[in-house]
Amino acid sequence: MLVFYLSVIDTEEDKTKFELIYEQYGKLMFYIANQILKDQFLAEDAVHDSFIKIIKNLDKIQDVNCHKTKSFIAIIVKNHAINMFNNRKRKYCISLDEVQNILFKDFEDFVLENNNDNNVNSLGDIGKAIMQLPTIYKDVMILKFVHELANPEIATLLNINETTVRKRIERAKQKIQASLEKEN
Amino acid sequence: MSYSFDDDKLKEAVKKVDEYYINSLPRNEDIEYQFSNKFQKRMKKLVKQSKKKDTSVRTIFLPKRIAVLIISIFILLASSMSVSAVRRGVFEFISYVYEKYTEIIFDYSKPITKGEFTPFTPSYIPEGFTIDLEDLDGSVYLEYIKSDDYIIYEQKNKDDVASHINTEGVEAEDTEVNRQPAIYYSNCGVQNLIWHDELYMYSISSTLNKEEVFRIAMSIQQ
Repeated sequence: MLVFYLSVIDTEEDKTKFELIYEQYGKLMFYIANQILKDQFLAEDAVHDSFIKIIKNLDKIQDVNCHKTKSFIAIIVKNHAINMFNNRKRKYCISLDEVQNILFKDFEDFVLENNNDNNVNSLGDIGKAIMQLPTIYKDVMILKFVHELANPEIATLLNINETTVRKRIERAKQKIQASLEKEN
Repeated sequence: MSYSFDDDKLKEAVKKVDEYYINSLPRNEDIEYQFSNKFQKRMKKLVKQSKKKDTSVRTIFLPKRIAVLIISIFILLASSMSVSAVRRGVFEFISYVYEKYTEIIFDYSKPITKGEFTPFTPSYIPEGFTIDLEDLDGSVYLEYIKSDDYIIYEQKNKDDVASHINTEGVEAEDTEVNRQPAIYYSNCGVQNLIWHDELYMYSISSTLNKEEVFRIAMSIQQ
């Protein structure tokens, strides 16, 4: 089968962008990956692989220093680390489903505790319902509504198919609706 | 009490959540970690590659139309080299290769007789999985989950098919499911199996291994 190596590194601007991203977010990416994988060498691998993904998506990054870029990069590395964790679990035939649940919950809780404002109420009812969504739904919603990516782009970025993206969005909306109705 | 929200409200809320989450992360400069020499060398190489025009990352850059033409020629050659039933069947899959994904549609040289949609579902699902999403309206979409593992099964009319699959650096394998032509590929920990009969296209995507994916597929009896 033919394998096409396609890259989008086309302009001088993009080359500078890539180096800036490495300088400004490299350690943060490591931090996110390490919180999930709990292994510094694996976390470094996750960062390296995520940078390969970033190279292919440089066109989606306009301003290196903005919040949107930080969010985009965080989603890429987080999903890659989760995939690595799942692969590793299968390879060694360890039943870590429960551990994994706790691990990811711990990670999210840890991150949120670090928020100085720590005011979930400022998010409003819908925001609080979104906070309760599992990561797989939340990330798709962020890529759709914050980064305004099309479903095929989200699918490529997260290594899932387009129908899964569409269904996760639908499912997320249903879960938010159910959560709001429960609260009220 | 019913609580409604539109996409604008949702968008606003998702933005707030994203900001809240990102603001909770530490600043890059506050993270005390020294990358290993091995990592730094690999990254140096990656940065160097990004500076070169002709690098291994950029081995071939093909405009979309040329890529489509080449893949079509490849499929034609492949089909002429083999006369197996599987190969002839697989030839009905036409793949349009874009920069980051492949679109699969069917060759409609043979008319498709569209009747009432008949759903077929798997009789085997591994233990511990529960159904999370079920949609049987005009097509079948079933999503089973168990912790972070999932199984997604779909059945669609062939003429509704326009499937986009991520095929970056992936080698697809021609195979068969219940004597029907199929394509199998694995990418980043997700196993994918697509097959079709006269009327429908079926697909399974799962984080489970290849054997389990095939076992589920074989349990769907048309």
